[in-house]
Amino acid sequence: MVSDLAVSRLDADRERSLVERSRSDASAFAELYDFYLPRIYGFIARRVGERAAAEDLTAMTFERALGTLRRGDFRNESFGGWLYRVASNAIVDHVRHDRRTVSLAAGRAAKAGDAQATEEPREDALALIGDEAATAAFTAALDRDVVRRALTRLPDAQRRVLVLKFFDGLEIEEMCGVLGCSRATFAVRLHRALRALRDAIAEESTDAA
Amino acid sequence: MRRDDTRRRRTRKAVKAVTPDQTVVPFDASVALDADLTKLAAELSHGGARAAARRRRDLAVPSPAFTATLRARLAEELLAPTASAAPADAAAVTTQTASPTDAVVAEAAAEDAPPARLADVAGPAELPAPIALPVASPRRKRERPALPQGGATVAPVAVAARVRLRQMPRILPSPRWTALAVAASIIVAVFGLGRFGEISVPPPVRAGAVAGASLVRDGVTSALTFGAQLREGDEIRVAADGRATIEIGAGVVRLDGESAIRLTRLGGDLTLVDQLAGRAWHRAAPAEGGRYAVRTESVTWTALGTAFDLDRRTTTRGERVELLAIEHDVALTSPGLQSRVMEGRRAVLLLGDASPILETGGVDGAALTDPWLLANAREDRDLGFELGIFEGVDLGDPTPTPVPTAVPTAEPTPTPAATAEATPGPTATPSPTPRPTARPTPRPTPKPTPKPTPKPTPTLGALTLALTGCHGGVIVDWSAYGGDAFNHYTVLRNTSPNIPLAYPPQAGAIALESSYTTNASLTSTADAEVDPGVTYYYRALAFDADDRVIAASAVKAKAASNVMNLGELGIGPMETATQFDWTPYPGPEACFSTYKLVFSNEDPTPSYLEGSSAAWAGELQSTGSTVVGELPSGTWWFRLQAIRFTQLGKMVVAETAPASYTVP
Repeated sequence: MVSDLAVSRLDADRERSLVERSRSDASAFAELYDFYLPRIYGFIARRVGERAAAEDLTAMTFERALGTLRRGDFRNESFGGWLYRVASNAIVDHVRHDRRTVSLAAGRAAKAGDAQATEEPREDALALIGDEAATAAFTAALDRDVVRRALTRLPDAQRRVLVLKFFDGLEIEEMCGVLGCSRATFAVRLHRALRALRDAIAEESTDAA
Repeated sequence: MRRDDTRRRRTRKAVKAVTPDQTVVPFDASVALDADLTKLAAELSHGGARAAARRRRDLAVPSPAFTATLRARLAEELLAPTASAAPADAAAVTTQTASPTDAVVAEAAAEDAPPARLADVAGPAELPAPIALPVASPRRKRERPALPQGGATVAPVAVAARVRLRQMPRILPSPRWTALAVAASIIVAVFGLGRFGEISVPPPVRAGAVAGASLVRDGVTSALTFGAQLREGDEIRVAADGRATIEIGAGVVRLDGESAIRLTRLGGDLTLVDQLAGRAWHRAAPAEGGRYAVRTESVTWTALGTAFDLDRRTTTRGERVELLAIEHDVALTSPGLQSRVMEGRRAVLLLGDASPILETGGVDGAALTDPWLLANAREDRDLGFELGIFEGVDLGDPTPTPVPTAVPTAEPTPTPAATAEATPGPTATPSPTPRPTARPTPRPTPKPTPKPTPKPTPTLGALTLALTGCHGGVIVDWSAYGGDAFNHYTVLRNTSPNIPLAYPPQAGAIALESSYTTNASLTSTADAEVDPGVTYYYRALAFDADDRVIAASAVKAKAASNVMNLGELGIGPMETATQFDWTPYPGPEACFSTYKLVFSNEDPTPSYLEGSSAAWAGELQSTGSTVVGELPSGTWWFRLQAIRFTQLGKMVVAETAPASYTVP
């Protein structure tokens, strides 16, 4: 829906064919790479906030993809969904295991955002990494203040669904890949998230009144 | 009002369409049906688009250098030989560029080093140190250096490097350490194999509560007695008024009257029971990695979960087998047929010469009142098992019924349960109800069942549910959930009492859209989407953030009647005001919240629920008249409505006919 890129979707049959051939055909893998690299990179960069880290995690994601394709281990329905899942896991690992290497920029951002944060700047900085960073960027782009406030009141799981769909602009298979759920489940989750947001907006409006 | 009804009905149909049987749900379909949500989604999309435009200027685009570098690296990796596919390539490159001695070194090093990239093996100078720690890596095929052409004499190859590589370890283990190492290896191997189920341990099998059942072993028939150890090949037959419980490991099979099973295989990896006749409740609990399957002739039912009921009867059309998946799913395999029966679904097979005919469907309401099923569910609940479709169902616990004493009157003489006498065993008298008798020795293990899908379900909380049938709909009230992990409520409705504890709703149930709330203190809603006179069944559920049910109410039923017609609305002009008269709403007080006098100059059927303006409101039910001053001049449609408000919705319970009036 909201895609940075001219071609928003790779035809499913075409993708399957490319995945099949990628095991031995460099041009097939190159086509997959060319299509997905900017997307995966963007997805990661919006969450980790540093170019170097984003490049590392992107490279790691594609190396893993290549290894899986070469071994013939790829069994998923959607290559894109699987790729986003790998990227998502890489981000989580990065946040979990890289606590000692929080960037100074992130630390400063945390401090700037909260003057009280001087005692625990590292923890606050960590909170900005991952989905929080994407949520913050998405929230900042919304028109109405009441929607912004309502979005922050949602449970994390529901907010994540909205961020993936409306901020990252992923295709449904890709979102299902990230969330590890079926299409039907995702449709239900999205519906519920929107309804929860609507309720939260109503409550915010009532509180404001 | 009519338009509103139409919209609601459309919504209801859409909700009904989302059933577990539908594998592909149209994406955004549910959102598109709700104008508010569509608008909200559009606003979010707009924000997302703005953010996308912003981030194009930021770092969210990879640099061309990075893109090209990674691309080249991956292409190189792709072209490099895999360990299994073309291992000789790298060595071949090496032998072409290096001296024979170096080639030997490179060859030997290649055995131990991890697979290298094409560029990395180009020069022998970059090879790792000769003595390397053994690294687990695919073994490469060794290729001999090519012989010189033309029959030239083969020059001797220096072996120093090879010897250097293969020098003996500096510290040799003493024989004592070698023996210990071997012993340790054996121990690790035994435990390791046991852990992964390679050494299969058959489950202990014995008879539990038994009455009127016989055991056929090696062609000899004897009475089956409580506690009898059973083994592979044994056949258990139950008389028409008897029953039997067979404990297989942590699981249990309860046999109804006129049923028979054979314990065909009792292995650690597979427990296979042939159900020869009758009805049996199977609570499968195979060991980790093991399977539990029941066979009815050529059809095999494999437990993917833990509980199912299987009924095999002879009919005029042939053998009929009906399976009801109580908890989790059951896989069905037979020649030419492969299927899966989801929890809460039933499958019916007609066994014959040709491939079995399969019918499937949801569990009907009668199943939830079937004494056999209820009694088994009660037993399982008492043993600590999860109940699947019976979760939250009133199991009709027998009040002080003559439940046979749990312990079989432990007399000092253990009654060696002699031979094939009619005395069925030490268990209590075979009272007809409940059919499966209580287990004499309740086992201490509370819940040993390994789950295929680990479901960290906490104990299910209880909600109370109260229904009020009104004109125009049903008021649904439930108690607030006070526990942790609460995310939202949803009330499910069905036209049968079968409302499984699941979302999306199953077995034909639908969710009341108005009941969804993430606020734990909002606990009432109005269901106006009902057909008058039809009995509807409701159940309130509380969910956690992962849509797992954490609390549920019992299923209750109520019917509603039509919106009451209060007749004509009388309108009379006064000096500076207008008087309105109507018949007060005579319905129950519980169905009334307020009167609304609504008006519109466009809609000839103004309704408060559709946003028409209210000229007056009153909360006294007996009111039948009011005077309204300063109405705007013009011709208006007026109507008086009696509204019932709830925390999460409202509905019209009574209304007058609309009346047109021109205000001077």
